[in-house]
Amino acid sequence: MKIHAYERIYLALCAVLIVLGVIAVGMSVFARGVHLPAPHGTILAAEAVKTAPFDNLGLTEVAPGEYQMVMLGQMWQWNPLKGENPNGKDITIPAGSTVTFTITSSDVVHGFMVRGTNINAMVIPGQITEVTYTFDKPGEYLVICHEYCGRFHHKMWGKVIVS
Amino acid sequence: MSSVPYTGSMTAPAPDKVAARANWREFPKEQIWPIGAQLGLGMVALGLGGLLGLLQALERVRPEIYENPATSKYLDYYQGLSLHGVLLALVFTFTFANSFLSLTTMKAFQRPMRSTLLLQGSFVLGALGVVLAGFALLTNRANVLYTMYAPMTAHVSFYLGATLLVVSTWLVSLNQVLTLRDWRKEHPGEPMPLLAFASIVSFLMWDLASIGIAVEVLGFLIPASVGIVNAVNPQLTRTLFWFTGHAIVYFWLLPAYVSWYLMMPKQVGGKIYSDSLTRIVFILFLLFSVPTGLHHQYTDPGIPIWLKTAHFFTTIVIAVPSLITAFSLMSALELAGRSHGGKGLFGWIPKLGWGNPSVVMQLLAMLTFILGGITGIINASYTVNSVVHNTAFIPGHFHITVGTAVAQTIMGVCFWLVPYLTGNKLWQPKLGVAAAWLYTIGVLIFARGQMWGGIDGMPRRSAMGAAQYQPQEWMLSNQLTAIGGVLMTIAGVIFVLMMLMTVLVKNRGVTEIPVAEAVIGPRANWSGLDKLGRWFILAFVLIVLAYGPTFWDLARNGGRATPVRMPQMGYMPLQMPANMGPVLFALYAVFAIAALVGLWKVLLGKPSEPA
Ligand code: HEM
Ligand SMILES: [Cu+2]
Ligand SMILES: [Cu+2]
Repeated sequence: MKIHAYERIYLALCAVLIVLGVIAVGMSVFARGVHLPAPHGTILAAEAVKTAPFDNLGLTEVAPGEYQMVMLGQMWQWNPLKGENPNGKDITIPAGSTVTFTITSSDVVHGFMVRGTNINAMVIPGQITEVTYTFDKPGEYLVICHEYCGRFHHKMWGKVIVS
Repeated sequence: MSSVPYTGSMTAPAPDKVAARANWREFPKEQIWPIGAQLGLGMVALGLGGLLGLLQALERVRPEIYENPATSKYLDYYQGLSLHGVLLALVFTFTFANSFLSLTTMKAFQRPMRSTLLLQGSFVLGALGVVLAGFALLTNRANVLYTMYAPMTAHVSFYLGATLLVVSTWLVSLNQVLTLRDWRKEHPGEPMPLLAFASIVSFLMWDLASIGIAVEVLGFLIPASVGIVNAVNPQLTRTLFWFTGHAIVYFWLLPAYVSWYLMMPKQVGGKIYSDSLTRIVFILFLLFSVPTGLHHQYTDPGIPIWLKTAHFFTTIVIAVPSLITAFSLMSALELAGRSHGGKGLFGWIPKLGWGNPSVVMQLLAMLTFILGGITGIINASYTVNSVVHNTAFIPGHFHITVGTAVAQTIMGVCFWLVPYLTGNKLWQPKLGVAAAWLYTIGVLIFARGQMWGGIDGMPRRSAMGAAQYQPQEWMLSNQLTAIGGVLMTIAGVIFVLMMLMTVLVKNRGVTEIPVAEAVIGPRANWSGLDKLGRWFILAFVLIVLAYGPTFWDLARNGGRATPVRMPQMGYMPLQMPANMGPVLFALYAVFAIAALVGLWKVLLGKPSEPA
């Protein structure tokens, strides 16, 4: 098959571009340790509130500087975070802490995102989502629901305060 | 290399002056009206959808649009967004593909479609689908967005409407294949006209792609919405949706590629760069569009890492045909510009017909699509996806792809297609040039706003103006979104007005379908490219390889059933009569019988005759 010289050069450049892209992505995984959410077990959504660990929502220190945050995505609260819910409570952790968020949904699909970090994971009823992140910089981190979850989806948020 | 001389459509008689004057009589009237009607439906969808888009863009700076007592009774942000998504991503794109690629098939084969019934049926079912889905959407019964993620559930009429819209596309595909068979009987051993090849492959790709959403809607969502089952597995239905959901973007894009590859060169006075390369590009889309869908689920908890990785690699493969396209189109344009006296490195650019509204629309669409391709590669890049997934970056990205590259190309095509169909001259062509620039400038501002916000964590699909958590830093990106949205809407209004006036104002003139010839003709020694049946089977095998393990894994540890709910009801479970089961099955049965009878008639019908 005859291919024009310009075309061959162009295709070669494309190949180089793609290879470089794959290398960059590979480095982000293997050198920088960025990992996508992986399966962490399943759960019966209708009974999530009664099922461990979601029967005990909130922050626990599992080791010095290491926390586990158990949360439930619900229309329309990242339970137990505050957001616009008077009974909720935002969490405070010292800078440098590593937090593992363990989340599920008891109703519809939600999306878990923390602004200014690369925390970004879907929260799907029936599935358990787990993400780990080390908060090095102090500040107020906005926790947002980024998947449409009904009429007041934009009222589903909260804060992680790193002191 | 040996190449045979190529004259666009191989069997085309020289266009006869008389036939050209009454050019819509080139094909039978009863086939032209459903094509026009289908296109008209798409224009209505564009007009209404665009207005809702304007409200969404303005909401960012004026939340009271939705939040004051006078309007909040009638307007809900997410209801509007559901309408916007359905009207533009489904109705507008499907109806255009149906009408445009039916006409190109007829033009390429120089004969009417095999079945007038299928052609008219496609329009009728599409229109019925719009009515059914529209009823549910307008009455607040389907605020589920066009992605319809379970366990959120809409009124059954929404799903029935969506189903009919998809069925309307299948009818076109069937009609194309039947017409191809008629043509082949009379032209044994000849390469298929390139225009027909591209039109048919686009639909074959979509036939495979739409299996996912068909199974999701017919198998899970309709039964759930009528209360036959009261729980579904959300991870499974999401996966079925994205089986279709990535490839659907190529079903939006390929009609635009048909125009860019095969018609634009003619419109700028040039030729197609290479016939075989064009065929290879379309075959690559057929093969690799579907087995990439998991790249929309990188952040899903229920999909194993190795499968996400596998789909990352197939996604890279699907970038190749688009990269080739960038080259082929540029060279076709450059050749055309040079043949009109363009000199030097860039001297060919001004020679491309910037005064022709159809050409300007599409040139700007192509330029914008470069940014669309780049942002698409960003989205697909595995870990980088975590930065942008479900943020406003994504609407930024797809308004320059489907919202511009495709939408502007459709508008550009309509600038000759509507005159062709009506026999009227285009009303005020200069306005069309203005609309093209206005829309492109608008969308670039709009997308800049959305992407900027998205990288800083602004979520998509959110009534941003009403969100109390909104930090000060997002204000500028909201303002850009609103300003861009206003410009886009003005352009859209000009376009719809032009179409309306072209139809209404009697100003007779001849318009022909632009079909370009290739510089390098089809390869005589390799007819393998035309063996569509084999490519189709190979595509199917690739899908089984990519999705077989996914569904196998989901079946084994894919999570459990979750009760379904209506979105606007909060925690309240669905309350529907449980005895709807027989009614639903009766409905399915009626549809199935009607389909079988129709098919029977079509298959036994007379073959089409050359025009
Ligand atoms: C006047 C022109 C338009 C304006 C001002 C506009 C505005 C918007 C805005 C602001 C959103 C984001 C809503 C959000 O994330 O909360 C949106 C979403 C969307 N737009 Fe447009 N748009 C326009 C034209 C188009 C066109 C031509 C298409 C496609 C052909 C399109 C397809 C979509 C889709 C698919 C969504 C996503 C809906 C969803 O997330 O469910 N838009 N539009
Ligand atoms: Cu939400
Ligand atoms: Cu995709």
